[in-house]
Amino acid sequence: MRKFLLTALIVMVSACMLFAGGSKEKASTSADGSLSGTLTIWSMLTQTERATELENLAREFEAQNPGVTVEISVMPWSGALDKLMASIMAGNPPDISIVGQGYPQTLSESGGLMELSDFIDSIGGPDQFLGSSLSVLSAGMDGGTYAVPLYITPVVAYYRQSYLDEAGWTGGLPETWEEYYEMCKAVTDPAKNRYGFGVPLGDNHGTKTLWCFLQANGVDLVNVDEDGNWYVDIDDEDYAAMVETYEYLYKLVRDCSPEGITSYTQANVRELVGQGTIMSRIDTPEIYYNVQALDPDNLDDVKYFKVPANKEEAYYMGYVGWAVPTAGNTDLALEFLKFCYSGDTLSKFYASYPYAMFPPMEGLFHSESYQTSLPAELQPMVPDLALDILSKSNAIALANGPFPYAGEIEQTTLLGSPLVRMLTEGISAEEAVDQVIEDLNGLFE
Amino acid sequence: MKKRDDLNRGHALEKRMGVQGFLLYLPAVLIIFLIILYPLIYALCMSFTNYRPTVRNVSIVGFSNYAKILSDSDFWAAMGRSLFFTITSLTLQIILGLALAQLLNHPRLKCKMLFRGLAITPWLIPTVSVALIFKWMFNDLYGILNFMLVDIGILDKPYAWMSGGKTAMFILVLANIWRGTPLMLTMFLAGLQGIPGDYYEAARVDGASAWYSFRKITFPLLLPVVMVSGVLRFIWTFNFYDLPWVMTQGGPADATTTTPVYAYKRAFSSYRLGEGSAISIILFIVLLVFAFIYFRAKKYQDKIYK
Repeated sequence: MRKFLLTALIVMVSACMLFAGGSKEKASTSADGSLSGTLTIWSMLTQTERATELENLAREFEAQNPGVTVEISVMPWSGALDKLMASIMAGNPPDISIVGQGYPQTLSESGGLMELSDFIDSIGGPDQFLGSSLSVLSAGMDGGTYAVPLYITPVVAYYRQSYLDEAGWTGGLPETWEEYYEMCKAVTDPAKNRYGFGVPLGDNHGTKTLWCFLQANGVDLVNVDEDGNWYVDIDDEDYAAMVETYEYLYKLVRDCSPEGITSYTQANVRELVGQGTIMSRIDTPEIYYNVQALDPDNLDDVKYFKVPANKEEAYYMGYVGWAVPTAGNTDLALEFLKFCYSGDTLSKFYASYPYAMFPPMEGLFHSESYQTSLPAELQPMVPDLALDILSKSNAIALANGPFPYAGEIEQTTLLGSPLVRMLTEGISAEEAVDQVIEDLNGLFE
Repeated sequence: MKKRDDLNRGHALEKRMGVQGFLLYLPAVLIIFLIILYPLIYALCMSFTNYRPTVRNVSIVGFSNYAKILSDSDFWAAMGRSLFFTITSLTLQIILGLALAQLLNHPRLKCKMLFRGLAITPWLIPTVSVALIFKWMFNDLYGILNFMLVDIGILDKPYAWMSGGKTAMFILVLANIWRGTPLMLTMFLAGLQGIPGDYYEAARVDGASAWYSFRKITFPLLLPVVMVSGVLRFIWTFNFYDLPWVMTQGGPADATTTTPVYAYKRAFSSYRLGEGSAISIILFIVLLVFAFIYFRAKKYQDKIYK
């Protein structure tokens, strides 16, 4: 008997170990139509202000649906795509995940994300979304929609007026590359620990800046033929434009950035801009938060202008959306999203972190409640300049539509590494461009 | 007859105990299978496919992932960096660990416990923290090291340590030495304490110098510990992922991309899990050789101490 009990106990313990973790509790709708279950959300919005507002939305949804519990896991953007990909592969994704640029294209082919066209129709249709935020940035490879835009952000060039005055700069705001270089150079003075320009070349965030410059020189890297096959689209003219771009960036970084820039991450560069070591960079208005934290007395010293053009104007926007993994509680997830997009529910959310989050819906953008909630520094930007940028923008490698490897271009620092090699190993611009083309071709292997 | 009955009862008991014993260690076997063997077999299977989560069609490609990786110059460059990182770190860890262990084992040293406690501190700090501490110490604009070197006149202006490939690798090795030496020190100290004091007493009576005692008594008796710790640490360091990743993410321009970082980038930044798995399997085979050396060294150590 004792032996039997012992054996039974061991088998039970083993079984518990084997099946530890168990299966996910699914949402259910009771006879009276009320929702119940647990909704898990992965959020990369780590900053307290917007994380709190997201929590508030969750609590409000719980209050409206007493049987529902919303659990939000907050994680940094760094490695988020990898984690989401791994969770989808393991069959244990969240019910909703915040997604960044390139995520829908990268993940849609995995079959792990829900197609959301019907949902978009149910919340007012696709026409309400600004620019390419839905048509390109949320689109998957089959033309379907795999994310709902949550917020978008215009990318502009920042500078500090007092630094220009101190350097005796009388050239006005730059509109061309050369003018921008001259402005940054005039301000650079290593003895004062002051540099004109910064770009995070130590992580994947530098890709955005490089893409802006490539676009401003008429290069769009990849294209698609009539049969839907993507290819590297670089002819002789593009090649020459790329060489010119890398030569320009090399000169700009070499002469106007701290020597350690090749190892700086996004956080490092933002801190240096915030405390005034770096005067200018191409970024979203989110940089104001760093200035607010590190140099609050000079918040109104930070100003902005459009990314300088060379052959054409460059428009770029930051994009963040929601995606619904197919293996999660999709019914509950869609109900939560429907709640978020009803009326002006999200306007408080945008107002909680206004420098970084702009509404992707034009109606909400123009609404009085949103406009009046904006801080004074953003008033000159919103709505005209911001709308101009946001309505014309695309994103990395998405100029010609949803490109399957858009996420990989950023993740692999494909555009930034050759510039780093120019700066650290002394390779030529031609060699740098050859490396970009080789790596781009490698994506298709 | 009674004797035969006793014998049968003994066999039956032995058999029962055998079954019970098996059942008792079954959970452990299951855990080992689930967390070690299953992922290993899964990775092995995946290495023969072109699996990319971003592409719907998966097919078996035989050994082509292995052929591709082994003919890739980036892979061999990463292997070279891994070897440099491991051998440099390990050699200096052994030398420093040995010197410090000798010092902390000195009979006339006061406050031994305090010093031994302090010496182990770097090992207690999480790797990620170590990486960030070193990264900040060597920051070109605000790092303490540049501040001190400029202050005492060794440097004219701050130096961008993390921006050059060679200096970034040097700092990576330095951080690894700082973190890993305490472990070696602890192992060597335990080994030193196992050497009977009589040997030194006898050597002293015979007029042997300290250096002579070290060469003829300490080192030969400590050698098995050095070998075992060295091989074990070699395996760990060769496989080390977190320190290089947090400190440099393999940069600048891949100058610190060691093999595990290369495998990660291949598997997760490029989403080529088939190729990433193939790299891991190659790495596994390389380290298996060192694991074999480790077991041989351990056997030798056991023999010596017996």
